[in-house]
Amino acid sequence: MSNFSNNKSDGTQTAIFKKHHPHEVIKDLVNSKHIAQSYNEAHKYQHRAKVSIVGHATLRPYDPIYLDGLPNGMSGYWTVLSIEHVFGGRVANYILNLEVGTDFVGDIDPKAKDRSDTRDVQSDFANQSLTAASSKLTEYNLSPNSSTLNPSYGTTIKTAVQNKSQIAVPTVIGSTKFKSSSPNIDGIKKTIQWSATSGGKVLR
Amino acid sequence: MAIDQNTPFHKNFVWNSNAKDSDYTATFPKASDMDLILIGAELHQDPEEHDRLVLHYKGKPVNKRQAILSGDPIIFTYRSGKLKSTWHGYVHHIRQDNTFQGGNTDIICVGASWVLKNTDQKIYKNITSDQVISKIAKKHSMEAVTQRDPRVRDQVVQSGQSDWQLCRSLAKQTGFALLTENTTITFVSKDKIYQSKKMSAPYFNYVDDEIGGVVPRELRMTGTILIFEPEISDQAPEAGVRVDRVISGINTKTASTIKATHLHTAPKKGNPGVVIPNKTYFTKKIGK
Repeated sequence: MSNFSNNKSDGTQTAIFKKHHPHEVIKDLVNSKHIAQSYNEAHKYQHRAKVSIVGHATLRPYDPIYLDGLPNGMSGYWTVLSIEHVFGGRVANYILNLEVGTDFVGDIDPKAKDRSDTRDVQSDFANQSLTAASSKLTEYNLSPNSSTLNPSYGTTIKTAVQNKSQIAVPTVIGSTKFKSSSPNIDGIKKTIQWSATSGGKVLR
Repeated sequence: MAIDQNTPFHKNFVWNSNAKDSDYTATFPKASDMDLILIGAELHQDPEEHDRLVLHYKGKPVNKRQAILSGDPIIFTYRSGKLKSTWHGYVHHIRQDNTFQGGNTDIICVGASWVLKNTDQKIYKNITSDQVISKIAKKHSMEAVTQRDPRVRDQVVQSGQSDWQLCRSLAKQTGFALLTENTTITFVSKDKIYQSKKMSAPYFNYVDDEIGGVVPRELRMTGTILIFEPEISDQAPEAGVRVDRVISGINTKTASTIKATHLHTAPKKGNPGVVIPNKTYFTKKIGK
């Protein structure tokens, strides 16, 4: 039950303000009803909130989410209005800053927590998927930039290209030009250090 | 019935949620030797707006590498647990700020719907809004997921606006959701998206003090909602549906004035999970 909204399910509320939208020409009552309905749709989500949650890669605007444990009876289904995915932040490696909205707070569902968020909902749709089609902006995907920096562990996986120097040495007149890359150490023999073991333990 | 142990409720805390096992990568198909380290990123997805991606790289690229220019395609892949998304877009501009920590490189990208900024002059006649969206998508070799708008318009005029501006205008007039993800334009009613995905809505939990006391950060972090700031108000008529709609005009056949008031009807709230017994239930005598 909502503690805040004055909306009632019987629709007895009266409007507070009037506002005119003199932008469209209408010729019959049927279309006037369509326009009225459209304006209602365009101005949904009376109650809004800003929420930060842990990362969820498949969330999109207008998707419903279930927020549980909120104070003052505000738990329930909310609609995502805008999303900011933040990667590599200080709070966590991946969080979402959302603006959510609803027309009535307290739309609860005790079973929401037991539903899987990876359920395939394609079969629920009638011959039309709301999922975006695959894109073809490019035909290949080659880059050493596939390494990631995970601040949780404080380490960086270096690729082979990163071993080269990224500092270009400027040319000075009268001096010998140095190579701008690190020396090739592939031909250098590696030193092998032997150690004695006993019973699987290294003897020092 | 056995409960699925893999539901969000059973991996509720931050340290066992999908966000714990997450990563993100960016690739530039036209600059395969891009070797700077990606240290952070923000992806902004708002309705009726192009997606924007900001990539933060450590350092600056050396001249010997292939140049990254505005308009180059970019593929950004991110994952949280088993959920994976791939974002396609274009490089918009590159910023190299010098800070006390040294020079870093920020690459600002825009979604694949960027091509819709092309302007045009066209008159669509005897058409619905969803058909206009489909035609625009086809013009740019994009996919369109649309829903039938019941209102047939005599004409929709595009007088020098961009295709994207026309799409936004139609979305505002119809109240439909306008979303672009990669090369797909979605133009459907908001209720359709809500009802289609409600049963698989992701679950998040907020840890609060039952008696309204101060909640330390350590306790708050045991939930998957980190911050919640509500803006609850009934005094925002244009941000809600509690408004009567008055439509006025002239009937072209009879020359009479039309004025129709469509009263606000509050949405009926469902009662999921609550069993309301029939009246006869209480009058039944047990054993008969």
